[in-house]
Amino acid sequence: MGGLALWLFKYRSLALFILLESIGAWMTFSGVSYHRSRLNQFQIEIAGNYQYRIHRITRFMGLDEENIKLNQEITALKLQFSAKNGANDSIKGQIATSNQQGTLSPLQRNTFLWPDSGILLDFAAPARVVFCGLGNQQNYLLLDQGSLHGIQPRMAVLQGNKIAGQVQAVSEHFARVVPLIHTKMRTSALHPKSQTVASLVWDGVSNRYAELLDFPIHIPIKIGDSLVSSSYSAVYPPGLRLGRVDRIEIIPGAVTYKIRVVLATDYRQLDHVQVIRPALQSEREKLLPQDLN
Amino acid sequence: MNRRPWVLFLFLIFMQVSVFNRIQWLGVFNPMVYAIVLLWLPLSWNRAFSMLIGFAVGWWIDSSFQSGGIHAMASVWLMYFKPYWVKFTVSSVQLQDNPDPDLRDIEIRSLVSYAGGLLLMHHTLLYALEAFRWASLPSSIFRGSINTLLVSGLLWALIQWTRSLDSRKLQENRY
Repeated sequence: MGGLALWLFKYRSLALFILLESIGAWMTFSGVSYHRSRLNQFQIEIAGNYQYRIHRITRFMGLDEENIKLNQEITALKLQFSAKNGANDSIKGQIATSNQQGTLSPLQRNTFLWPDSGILLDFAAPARVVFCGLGNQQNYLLLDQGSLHGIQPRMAVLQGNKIAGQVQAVSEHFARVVPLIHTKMRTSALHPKSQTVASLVWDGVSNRYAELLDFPIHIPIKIGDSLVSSSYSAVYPPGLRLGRVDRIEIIPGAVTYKIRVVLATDYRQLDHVQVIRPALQSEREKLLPQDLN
Repeated sequence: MNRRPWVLFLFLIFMQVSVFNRIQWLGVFNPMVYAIVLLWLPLSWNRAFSMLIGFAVGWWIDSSFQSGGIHAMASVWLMYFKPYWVKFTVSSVQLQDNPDPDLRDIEIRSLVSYAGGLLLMHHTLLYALEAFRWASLPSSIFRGSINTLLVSGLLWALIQWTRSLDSRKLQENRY
């Protein structure tokens, strides 16, 4: 107490100054309606700003859960949409005939169209990436869905309409995915402008770039051209994005270009994915010799 | 300290309440001549007492203006800051000779920064408190500067006038 009194005495003029100014402020804010309303506005603004900031933080915290819900909802809506619209008539006809002949398995009877791509599927499920190895030559991803959720090997893993990889093995609750950035992965890619098919391989250097092999030099190709999955693949439905041409090198004496491709999928930010299987996949694969798969 | 023109002070406060409060030309010219009184009060007074005087004068103006307490706040601020400001603006040699200089004793260059600076701060603070929004701060500064010029002119005239009165009084006493 004595210390406080001493301190007050030392700064007595400052204390009186503050006191008098406070009285003046009180007189202003209690006496003049304009100043009172301005003060109220100010308080509301401060409180509103504070609440808004808190809200932004909590909203950000809840974003994770929100994204899971959204991904589930999107997949559910796509399934619902396909159930309503069904496949387009020609494919429907084919499937119907196959059904009548009894050549389709029970799973394959429930085929549906994946919206905004026109791809016929018989399985689709949302999943999350729980592990993503990027630093190796042979990388792999882990998904949080497994055989209990219907995931099986050789299903395609998409991020929207971008190809991320294919399921290699499953356990009950997890699935292992081979991404495009795997040195042993070879994906057939279509250059839609010239309808030319070439193979996309990863050179093991950067997880943003892959190489397009066997693209003949007599076919025109430009930087920025997009590359999509071809219909040659049994795993990936045709027409899904793989990447776009980033750099074209002409090697003297060679009959093919050396083309660098920017991958559509950014593996550093891969989180929510969809696992799908094109319709009639097993039937198609049965016809091919085993060593080609 | 007896050299202060006390009657003039009372007259200025009276003029502020009765005449200058009614001047609101173009919404800009609204001089606060009572600040001259606060400026001219002796520096030798106890600072707490000075502030109380400032508060009382400001309150008096406020009650005639119906403006709450903004004049009281600005006046208290002027009275609190005056002893610091005088050390910045008036030469230390002069302050050593006379620690409580009358406005008429201060040389003109120091007077401009001393009185002009304090008047500008008082007016700007007053108009800013009156508008009480950040967006009006530039216009408050503009109004403060204009009215400071007016009041400074009046202060200069009053100083000259009281000087001539004093010299006449001295001459009368001599004879």
